Amino acid sequence: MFVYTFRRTLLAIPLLIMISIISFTIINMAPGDVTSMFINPDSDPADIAALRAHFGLDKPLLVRYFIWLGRVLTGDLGTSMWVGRPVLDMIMERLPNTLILAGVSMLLSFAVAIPFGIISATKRYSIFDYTSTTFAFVGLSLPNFWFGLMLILLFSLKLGWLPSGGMRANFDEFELIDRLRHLILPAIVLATGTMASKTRYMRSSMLEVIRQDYIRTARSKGLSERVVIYKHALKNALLPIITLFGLLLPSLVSGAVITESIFSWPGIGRLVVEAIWTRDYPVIMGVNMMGAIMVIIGSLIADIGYALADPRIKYN
Amino acid sequence: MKTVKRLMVLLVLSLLVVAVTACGGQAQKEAPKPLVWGMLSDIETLNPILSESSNETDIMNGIFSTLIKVNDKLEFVPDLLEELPTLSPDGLTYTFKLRKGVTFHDGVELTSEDVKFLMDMKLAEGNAVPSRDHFSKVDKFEIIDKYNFKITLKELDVTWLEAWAYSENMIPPKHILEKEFKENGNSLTKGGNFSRKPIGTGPYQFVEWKPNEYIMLKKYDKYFKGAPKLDTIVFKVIPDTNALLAQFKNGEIDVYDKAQPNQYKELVAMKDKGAAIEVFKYPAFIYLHADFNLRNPIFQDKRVRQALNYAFPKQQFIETVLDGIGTPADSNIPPISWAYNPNVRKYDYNPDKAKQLLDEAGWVVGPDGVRTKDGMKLAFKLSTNSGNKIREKFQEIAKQEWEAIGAKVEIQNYEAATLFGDILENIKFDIIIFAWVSGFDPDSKTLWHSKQIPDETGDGQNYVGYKNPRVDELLEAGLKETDIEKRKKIYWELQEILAEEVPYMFIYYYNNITAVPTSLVNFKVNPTQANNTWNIWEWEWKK
Repeated sequence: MFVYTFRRTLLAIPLLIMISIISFTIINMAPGDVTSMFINPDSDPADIAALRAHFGLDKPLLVRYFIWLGRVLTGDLGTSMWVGRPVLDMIMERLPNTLILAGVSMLLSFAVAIPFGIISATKRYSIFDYTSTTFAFVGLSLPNFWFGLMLILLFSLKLGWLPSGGMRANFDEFELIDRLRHLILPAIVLATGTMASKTRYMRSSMLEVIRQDYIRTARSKGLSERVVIYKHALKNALLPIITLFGLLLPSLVSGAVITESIFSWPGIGRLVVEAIWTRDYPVIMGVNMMGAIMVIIGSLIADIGYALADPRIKYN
Repeated sequence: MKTVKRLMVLLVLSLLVVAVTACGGQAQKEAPKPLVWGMLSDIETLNPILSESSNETDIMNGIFSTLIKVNDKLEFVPDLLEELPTLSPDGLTYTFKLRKGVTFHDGVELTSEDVKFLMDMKLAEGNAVPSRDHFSKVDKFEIIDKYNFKITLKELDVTWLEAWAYSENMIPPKHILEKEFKENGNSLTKGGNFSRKPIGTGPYQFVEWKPNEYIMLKKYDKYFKGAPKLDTIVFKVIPDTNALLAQFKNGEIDVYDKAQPNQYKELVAMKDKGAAIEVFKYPAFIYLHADFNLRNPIFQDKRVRQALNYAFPKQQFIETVLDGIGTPADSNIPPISWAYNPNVRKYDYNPDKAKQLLDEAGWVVGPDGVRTKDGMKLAFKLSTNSGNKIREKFQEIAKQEWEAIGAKVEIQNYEAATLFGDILENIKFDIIIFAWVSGFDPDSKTLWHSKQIPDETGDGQNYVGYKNPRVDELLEAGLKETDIEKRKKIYWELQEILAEEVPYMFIYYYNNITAVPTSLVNFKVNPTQANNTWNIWEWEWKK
């Protein structure tokens, strides 16, 4: 297992380099660059040329890539061309906010999806199954911006229970209740979208498991249904969910642009979109690489988790 | 059974949620209420020398001061000065007299040296400032003493004073900024320390900036016009216009500045239902325009440009697309300006006249319904920045109307960076639609003067390539005329020519919408670049 992990980590290096080359090429193919955002009725073309040189944008693409790569290898993600601040600082300021929102919504969606999936499977074609399936699909097809606005309309404007956006109303000190109140609506919106697929995964994998022989054996031994499902079936039925968790890991750091915008949540999603608008290459690359690393870590965790949960799987 | 248990768990959970929501509602403290101001995007810097965005101006109006201000009646008034600067008889030398005892937030007194240093920084080679135009016109800066200085211009320019009222010329402290400026090789960056920890002489001092979340200011008791009345001001970032409106309705923000045109009715309805708010709608110095690339042979005949102008229902566009939030434009000078000429040629919707003009110009309708002349089709592209719904709506209507009179229109849009960086700058458009923000001075030399065509002279914003010797003369004379009545005549003639020749199709002047609570006293809208926080030191909560 250790050898396997080590080999996978080594393999990740050329993979990351490939990803960086592709991202770097693609974002540089988009027309315009950061200096076009500085244009106003008084800009002097000489100033713009100087600016371009200052950012190194006058150099050929290949040279710029190696300069960037050289910096990254020494742990320096570079400086934002648009705001002139270290990219790492900009990411780290927003990362905690994104982690909190994405983490809470992921927990929420698993907390709902796992029991709902189990019940749907064990009580297949019951009213509960139909209801939860319907809700799952409604949740999946609700556009985030619309659902978010509807929640705001209901819980903030009509009922006045919850704030409609931001992370806090008390700007002077940390107040837990205040923070939680601001977290509820965006977390629900984010969770609802992904709940559906998780419920369906759970349901179908449970269905598959309870059809197997060993479950029939367990039942014929006279075990109670509760023990059959939660002791014997659940462990095996959770396997695909482990994979799913690994694959969802990158979403913890990638941010959610639309939800962040509607609820004025200062996360990574907005940072990326603004960086793309302004052609702020170092920021785009920084976030891209962070996402790529998370994808690799996520799939590694999924594979390892798989082996841990299922003794039949061995990596050599 | 199990389902019942689960339902119980859900019930308990939801009760918890309700408990959380309920407590928060009452947890209001007795501390003085902060004023929360909503804004659509985060800022990039609070260093006035580098600032380019209107949101930054809103905040910096709290932190910094300018030598003069433009008030809500569009008059110059002294701010850091004892009185408005006096001008020498030749119109070249201004004498400034600073107030005594003005202090920066660290207690150090403001002097002539700080003003001089502003100029030095702006003119430093390699310092990438958004505009050094104002100081490149300066011939000499003489410091007389701590409070008095003289500035002599290279040539007469009656528009020069206005820029002193705006954020680009807010006065930063030399004793703090000089170190950063020198350490950075005589330049400044938005990543610099001062950008994120500004110190000025304004009524409010900077407290903190949480990226993409908020910027907080607290009052500065030793402000030179007396301690301000509000305790704390929070500028909150809400990157969605629907969310801004929701937060305003819910009282999470107090001021909703620059609301969207389609939100006006809703805000007014809110007020009519008894909400304690005031909704302002006022014209701004911003206009939308469609520019004809005059290098394109199709557009060289002014009758074609006039025809397209006649064939667009401007008034109807404003009423339906903008909900009436806009004023039809016939020139680049809005009706609130002293130089506005109401008697220029108007292009009221008249498709018959448009057809007639095209006929006269020799454009014959072909078998496919598209007009041709000398083997050339009346076909062109119409471009703007994609995602701007109002401009896209304009294009749809224009395409329909213009094709009805025999043109072939292709809509081709680009995102903002490409449109302004490439399509506009490198003149790759047929007709391009965007907006200009102008100063309240009527000068527009960079837009129309034949020496301001970027692909010929490497300078200027005359992207359309307009050349008219009389216009050149008028633009030059307008900068030198000190008598306001004579100046007015100059700009009246200029507006007549522009309306007749249509290098741009002027579409409409923007109207701004701002909603504030009635409990906020002394809020006065200001349509210039000084913005609505221009008199932030006077604001207070109604007792």
